[in-house]
Amino acid sequence: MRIKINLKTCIKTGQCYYMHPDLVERGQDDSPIVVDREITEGERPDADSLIGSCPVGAIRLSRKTQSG
Amino acid sequence: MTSLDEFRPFSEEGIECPYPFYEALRSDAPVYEAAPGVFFVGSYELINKALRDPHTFKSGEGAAFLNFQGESGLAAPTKNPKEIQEILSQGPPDRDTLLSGDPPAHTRFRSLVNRSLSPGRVARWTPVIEEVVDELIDGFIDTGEVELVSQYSMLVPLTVVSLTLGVPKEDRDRYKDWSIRSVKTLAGQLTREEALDAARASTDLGNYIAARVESARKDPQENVIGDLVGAHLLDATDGDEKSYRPLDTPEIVSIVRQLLVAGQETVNYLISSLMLMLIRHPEQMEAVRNDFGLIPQMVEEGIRAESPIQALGRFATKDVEFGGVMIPAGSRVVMLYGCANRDETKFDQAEDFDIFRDNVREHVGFGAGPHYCIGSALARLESRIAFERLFSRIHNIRLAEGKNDFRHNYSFIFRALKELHLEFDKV
Repeated sequence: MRIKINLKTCIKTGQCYYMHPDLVERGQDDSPIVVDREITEGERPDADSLIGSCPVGAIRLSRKTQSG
Repeated sequence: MTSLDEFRPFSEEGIECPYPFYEALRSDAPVYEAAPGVFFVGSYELINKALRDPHTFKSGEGAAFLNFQGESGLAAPTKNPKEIQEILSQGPPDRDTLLSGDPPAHTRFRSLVNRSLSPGRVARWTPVIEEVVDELIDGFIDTGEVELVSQYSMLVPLTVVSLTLGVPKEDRDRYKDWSIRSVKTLAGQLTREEALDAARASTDLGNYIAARVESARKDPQENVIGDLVGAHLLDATDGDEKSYRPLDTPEIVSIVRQLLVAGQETVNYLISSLMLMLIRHPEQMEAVRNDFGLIPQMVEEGIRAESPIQALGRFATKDVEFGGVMIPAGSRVVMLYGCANRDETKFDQAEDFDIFRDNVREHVGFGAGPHYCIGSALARLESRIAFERLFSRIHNIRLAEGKNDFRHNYSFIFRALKELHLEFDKV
């Protein structure tokens, strides 16, 4: 599983990188940058919390195991 | 242009129209020492920077709360007078959870409440909100006139919040009475009697919510209290081992209270001021009526142009040079959202109400960073439905002649029309 953020919906509130800095980093212009790696089963609660943290619902989990 | 120190931002006239002061602030001193140890931040860029730096500008220990004292300005929050403390002590004890918290504890609480208030979760309330809103409209539609604040904009969020908390029908009137009386503390200056009454209502409401929490522990329902009762707070981390605990009742009451205070009045102010702006811009009202798809951006522009929360505070945790000004540790730093949202360097023709501006969603009316409004998804949903239903059922909405003075509550922090008298025709 990988985290995906729809940057067209994103309004850059920063909730994601404040709540879960280990999953999303803060970019230059305050945009979120998803940490480029697989989410382990153990991280699933954090990923769910991350998804719930976005006030505009721009974050989701993609089931694809490989990127691209 | 008038120089900054000639403005009287805390006077009644200054409150009535803060925008010339804001404009002078942005052009002359985006960081301005308004009183010893009290700094105003007014530019869009600087507010965004400060709100995203919670280590330098923290929110805890009451920093967010600005104690507006009328003409004499803003003071540090004082302890409540003894008689008020006594009343409040009969309710559930206070806890630092959301607004008054800082990371890492704030992050843990926030994570729990976020789930309950995420866009996906609040969407489940849509049919219920539509029903509530339609009932309110039923209450005045046949008269052809309405005082929008007391008959509609105040009642929409009040009723919605009561539903999301699972307040049963038979308790609605009591709940409504308590919540109207307890949020009066936001309206500005209160007399001693009013303050005592607000404290009594707040205590009764706190005890009522605590009772709802207790009954939800036995029989949790699909609502915010049910969610919080079932939630588990991260308590400790020991290496990879994390331990969790349920929230205690005072913590849930604290969270629910903030939802109520922050979520009730702000949406009220938004709906009424937005309606006034639409009446003053009939071409935009017409565009929205013809295409409800424009309502979300209309709501955003309303929050930008007449931000319901004009200012919230922070504390400087260390000496910091900010916007070319030295801010000493311990200073109160006041984020003027209402000022930043009219910053010309960010918003073209910022003084104009324009639902079609391309960066309409980039206002800081909900704040930014770790304390970004936790109820924003619900606020957006309620506001959208409030206008969709109104526009579906009434048209030719106009000001009732001779009845409006367009005065606002005397508050530096909240921008609230006192009344808005309208006339209309049924669709």
